[in-house]
Order: sequence, then structure tokens, then C-alpha cells
Amino acid sequence: MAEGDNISTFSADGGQDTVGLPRIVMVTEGSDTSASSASSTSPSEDNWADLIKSSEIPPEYWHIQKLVKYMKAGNQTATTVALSCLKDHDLTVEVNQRAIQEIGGLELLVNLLETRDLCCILGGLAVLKDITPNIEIRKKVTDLGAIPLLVGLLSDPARDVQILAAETIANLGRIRKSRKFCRKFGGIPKLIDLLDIKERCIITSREELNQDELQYLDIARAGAKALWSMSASQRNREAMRKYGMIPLIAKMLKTIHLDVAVPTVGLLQMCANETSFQLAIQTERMVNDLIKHLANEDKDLKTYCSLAIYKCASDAITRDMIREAGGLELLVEAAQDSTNRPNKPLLAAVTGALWKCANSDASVKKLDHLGAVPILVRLLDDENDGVLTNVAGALAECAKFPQNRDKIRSAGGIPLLIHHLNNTYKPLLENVPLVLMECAKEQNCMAEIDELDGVRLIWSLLKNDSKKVQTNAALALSPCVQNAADSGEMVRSFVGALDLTVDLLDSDDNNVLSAICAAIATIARDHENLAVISDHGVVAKLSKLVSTTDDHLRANLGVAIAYCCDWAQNRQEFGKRGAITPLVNYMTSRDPNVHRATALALYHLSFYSINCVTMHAAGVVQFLLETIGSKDPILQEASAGCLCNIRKLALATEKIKLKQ
Amino acid sequence: MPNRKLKERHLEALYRVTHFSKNELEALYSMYRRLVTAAQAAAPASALGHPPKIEGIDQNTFRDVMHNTFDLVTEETILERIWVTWERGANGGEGALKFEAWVKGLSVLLRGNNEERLALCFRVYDLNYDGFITKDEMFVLLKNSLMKQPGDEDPDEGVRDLVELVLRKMDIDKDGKVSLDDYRDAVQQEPLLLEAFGQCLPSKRHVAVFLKNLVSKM
Repeated sequence: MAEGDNISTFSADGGQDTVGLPRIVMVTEGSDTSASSASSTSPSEDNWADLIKSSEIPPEYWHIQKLVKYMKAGNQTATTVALSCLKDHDLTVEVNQRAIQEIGGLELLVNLLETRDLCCILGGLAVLKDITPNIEIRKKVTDLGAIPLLVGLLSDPARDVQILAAETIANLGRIRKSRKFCRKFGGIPKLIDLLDIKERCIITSREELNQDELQYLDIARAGAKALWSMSASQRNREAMRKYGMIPLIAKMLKTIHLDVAVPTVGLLQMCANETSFQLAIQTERMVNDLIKHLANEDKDLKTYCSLAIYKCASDAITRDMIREAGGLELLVEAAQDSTNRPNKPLLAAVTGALWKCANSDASVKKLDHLGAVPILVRLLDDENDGVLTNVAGALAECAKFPQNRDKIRSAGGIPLLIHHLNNTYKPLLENVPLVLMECAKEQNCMAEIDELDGVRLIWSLLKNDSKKVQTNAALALSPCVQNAADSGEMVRSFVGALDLTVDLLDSDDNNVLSAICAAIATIARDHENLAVISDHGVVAKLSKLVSTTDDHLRANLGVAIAYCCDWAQNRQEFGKRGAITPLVNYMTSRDPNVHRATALALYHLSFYSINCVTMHAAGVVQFLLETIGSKDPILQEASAGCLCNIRKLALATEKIKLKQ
Repeated sequence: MPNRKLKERHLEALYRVTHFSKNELEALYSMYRRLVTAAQAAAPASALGHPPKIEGIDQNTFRDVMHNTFDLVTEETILERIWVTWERGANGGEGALKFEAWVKGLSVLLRGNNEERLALCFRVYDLNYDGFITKDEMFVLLKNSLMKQPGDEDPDEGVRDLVELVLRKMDIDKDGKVSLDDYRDAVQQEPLLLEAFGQCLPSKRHVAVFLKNLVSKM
């Protein structure tokens, strides 16, 4: 489950008294950018055609069609009778739904919504609510212009009508066109109004509520369901925010009723795709209520709560609130619960939430306290890619803290992680190297990674066409190369690895470039390998990059250049290729990492006299005189060393002049 | 015309047996007097020279009120039945409705609780007052509810079929006819069936509007 992925893979005025006359309205889309899905004959169409031919149609089918015929030919009384008989059939079964559809029943039902007769409207809505889960019917009913009629009925004084209209809209909202029409016909503010009920209804148990209050509660629940369905469109979410839904959701979140909580949290987590809602969860103090619902036994509710947390935990203050409300305990408990293993959406949501929450130091501390790391490692054998991605992400955050690296190893995590390097699911491949990157900093882990051929597998990820995968794999290489035993030999044994690495310097992505430069800086410490990459033209490629203005890249580039100097004619070549002057310019940056890297590079370059001349001409001395007083020891040393070399050259030149 | 007011003890008695407040009752009385006066003025002269005395709400006035004030647009048969079964008390079924009968009937029509409305509809549909709605009575009531299709051999076939369906749904004790108990149970399971044989109650919307205007005009 990567960013943006979603697991939960959701006025008219009356006036016509002539019931039963079919009317077809083709509703066309405007010149909007949204494209509807292409319709092709689905497998179910073919099955249906076969079924008809084989004449195995149950008598119910014909009975239903007869009822629809009576509705077409009948007045309000006959229609009401026919509707009540129709409701006796199980309208959620496809055969029965087809029966209605194929005799023109859909046109009739949509027409009923425009009558003034309450019985006809109620009966029509009840039938529509049951048949609209069928995807064909959904599309046809939308095309027949049902949405504006339903939106109109949301304002009907009869509360039953409001509830059924909202529930039907919820069903229809599973297709994009319906969601757009609902917005265009002013449905969003009306649905939001349905949520506006007294707090007493929300927090009191059903036994203690009177008839009226129970109905208001049902209205709010229907409204939440409809809005949840509508929230699949980004523009609808924006409209919901604009029309003031946020405080109403915050209020509804306090509910004690499970059937109301599920659509409310479902709606909230969908909306949490937007940063405005993520912030609102924090400012409207919704975290505590969310955590309360997270504790609920109901698995669907847990899933939606976890999803909401996953989406809003990118903000540090929210993370603190989640931790303080006891969210981490509940999440770890859910991850540990073996009965949750088969429930992949739940598991993915919970691990995703843990991943995002682990971004705070205090949270990792808490997670350690709860023994989260071994629990997460145990989940590394799961079959679901989404779950694995999140678990790896969470472990990567935990492994930033040294004590957890060995925990991962002793729980048997290293072999599993390395095994996943063979997976093709890109988000997973982004996260696994990050875990190994941290683990490689610990000796025993590194030994195990090496033993299991992990470094070669990480290296081969550089061939992956995802930029992020390349970046993270390259990042993992630095500590691996640094800490492996016989690192130089090891690197040389990977056929084509060095060439591959140097070639990536042609990438157009700055993150990739930064990571590769960091890797090269580490690789270049081994002389033989430095020879190999020099042969492959690393100097030329590094020189081409110096014109960058990206500070992060500059910092890594500087270090790479520094360590590539120590071979053959490399430093001369850097000078000839005009790398020096731009490097001097890096000193104007405000980033201290850039200063350090630049000083290092200039120091190593300054062992060639012409480079000193170039640097001096570019005005490096004034910068070095400042950085020489820095508190950063590496920066200080490198600056001093560089100045020293420049001085030596100046002195030597003086001497020669004097001799002449 | 002097605007006579209800005597206090009448008001008290009516207040106890209807669902109206005392304000509403007084407003209804004014309305009653207005209607009767208007009906009297509009009555055609008979052969004897002067028009007959109209002593209450007569059928014409009743029909007007149902149509215009309550928007009860329904079959003539049904309207006739509602008139015939209206609360008549001692009168027994003929003649104009005095205020007491008028207001008691309105109470059920506009604000009746479930049982009262149920009883009213049942009385309307039970054409021969024998306590049962039979298949024949259903047929009479639903006779004109389906449009005649050209090419129908037997135009009543649809109606007969519809009658069968309804009977099957409502005859809970399976004795071939629908008693009040059957009717009550069926309506409880499926509220749509309350007015299965024809609309006899005005819509809630119109009732709400009427009652609001009634008191505000006072």
C-alpha cells in the first residue's frame, strides 16, 4: 500500500401524477476531463445470454415482470399494490433484478420518484435501494436521470423518504458519473444537512431514545453512508470541506452506535486523502474519538480507523496525539492478534498506521516498550504485498535506532527481508532496502546480510525502472560497502555492478543522483574499485553534475569528487573538465552539509597545483578563511588542509620568482 | 352573520375526544360556520320557492373540502364511501354532518393514530359492513385501477389477478377474506398496504399546511 493507494477497493419538484408512463432521459456529461469507464460485454452478460437460451428462468422472473406491467398500466392504487408485492421478492438476487430491468422497470421506477404520491415514492425508493447494488442497473438508473430526483427528495419532509433516498444515492455513488451529478445538482450540502442532528441522539443508546430521535439517528446514518460513497471523488471531498462538513463529522465521531460509526469513520478516512482534512483531524480534536473506535471489536471499524491514522500521521503533532491517546498499544495489539492474519485489508491498514506513526522518536520508544519489532518481523512472512510494504516501512523507522537492529536479526528478520528483494512489487522494493540500510550499520546484521548474498540483491535493484527503488537501493549500498568484510573483493565479485552504478550518474532524478554519489564515495575508498570506476568514466560524469543547484545533491557530489581524486590523473581531469569553479560557488550555499562536502572536495583537489590556481582565482580563500573557524571538525580540517596546499603552492611560486 | 362561538362545555367535551387543541377546535368551528353559510347561500331554490335549510356539512361541501382543502384526489367510489362511513353518531348515515360529527371525523382523518386510521380505511373498504373485505368488494374497488390495454381479450383479467395477489398478501388467517385483524397485521408488516384499495387519507404535507394556516388565521 503506497501513498495514495486505497484499500477500500465506493429538486426536483414533483408534479407528475401520471404514474406508469415510461420516460427515457439521456443525461450527457459536460466537457469535463473525467472519462467514464469503457463498457464492454462483461462475462456476466454472456452468462445471462446463455441462461435465457437454456430457458432455465425461474417463474419468479415472469411474476416480477407481470407486476411491473401492472405498475405501468395502473393508477396510484394499483401501483402501490404491485410495489408491495414486488417487495416480497428478494430483489438482491440477479435474476430478479434482471426481470425488472428487462421489462422497462427502471424507467418506471425513476418516474415514480417524480410523483407526488408518498406511497409510490416510498415503494419506488425501497425497490431502487435493493436493486442498485447491481452494477448494470446502477449505470442505467443514473443515465435515466435519477440523481437530480433523488437529491430533490433529500429535502422531502417525510423522513422515510430522506433515508431511502440517501441510501439509494449511496449505492449509485459507486460509479463516477453519479458522484459528479450529485455534486452538480447540489446534493453535497443537502447530504451534509442530514448529519446535523442533536448530540443527544448520537451519544445515547437506542433504548433510551424516542421515536423521533431514533429516526434522526437513522437519517444521519444514511447521510453518512451517502457521503462516504460520494467521497471517492476528489472534487466531492473538496466540496464537502467547503460546505462545512468537518465540524459535523467531529460531532458524529462521538457516537456510541456501531452502525453509525462505521460509515462516519469510513467517510473520514476517505476524506483524509486531503491535507485539509488531515489537519482538521488534529485541530478538531478527533484523535481521541478515533482511538476509542479503534478499540472496538468490529474489524471493519478497526480497518477504517487504522486507515484514517495512516493518512493523518504524517503530521508530528497528530502523531503525538495518537501516542498519547493510546493508539500505539491498540495498533500493536491488532498486529499481534493472529485471528487478524487472514483479514488482509485490516492487517495492511494497521501496519500502515504503525509505519507512519513510527516517524517520531518518542513513538519508536513506545513501540520498543511494547515489543513491536519482533511482532512486525513475524509478519514478514505474509503473502500480501501491501502488508509487507507497510511492515518493512515500519521496521525501517524502528531500525534507525541501533538497539532495534539486533532485535530484527534475532527475530529472524534478515533472511525474510532479503527474500523480499526478489519481489517485483515496487513499493515493497522501496522500503526493504531502507531496513537493510540501517541494519548494515550493525556488525552482526551485516555479517548475516553478506552471508545471504543480500548486497548483490540490493545492487541488482539499481536496474529497476522505478526511481525511488533505485534511490533507496543506492542509499543502502553505502553502509553495506562500508561495513562488509572484504568489502573491496565483494564489490568486485558482482559482475557489472560498478558499471551499473556509474551509469546511473546519467539519471535525470536528483534523488537517484545523490544516493549514487554517496555510494560512489564509499566505493572509491577501495583503490582497485576506484580504478575500475575511473576507467568507466566516473570523473566525466561527476564533472557534468557540478552545475546543479540542488543542495542535497551538491553535498553528496562533493564527497564523491573528494574520494575519486586519489587515483591516477583523476584530480587533473576534474580540473580540466571545469569542475573547480562551480565547486567554489557551492560555498555560497547556506547548507552546512554542502560546505563540508565542498571543503572536502576542494582539499583533495588541491593536491594538484593547477587546481589550486583555479580555486584561488575563483575566490575560494575568503570562504575557507571563514570555514576554518567552524565547529564541524571535518569541515575545519578540510578547509585548513586546502588552504595549506594553496599556501604551499604560493610559497613555491615565490621561491621560483626569487631565484629568477 | 354573527360569529357564534362554541359553548364552553361542548368545547371541553370535544377536546377530550379529539386530537385537536382548544384553539384548533375554535378555529374549526369558525370554518364550519363559514362553510355552512356559504352552502346555504349557494343552495338552489326548490320547487317550493325557498331553498332547503342546510343544517351542517352536506355532501357537496364535503366533496369540495376534500378536493380543494385537503387535495384528496381519489376515485369517486372512495369519496362516496368516506362520506357514507363518516362519524354520524345518532343520525345513522344520512343527511348533513353537524359540527360534532364533522370534527370527530376530521380528527381521525388529519391526526388519527395508527389504529384510528386503520379502522377508518377498513370501514371505507368494507362495502357491506360485514366486518370483512371480500374478493368481490376488492374487485369493485380496484375495477378502474388498470388502464385497459387494446388487444386485451379480457380487460378485467389484470384486476382479478391483482385482487388475488392482494388477498394472498393480506389474508393472514387464510380464511379467504380479510378481517380487521388480518388487515392490521398486514399493514404492520407492509405500511404501504394501508390504502391498498384507494386513497382515503389526505397527504401529511397537506395536513400540516392546513393545520398551520388554521391556527394562524385566528
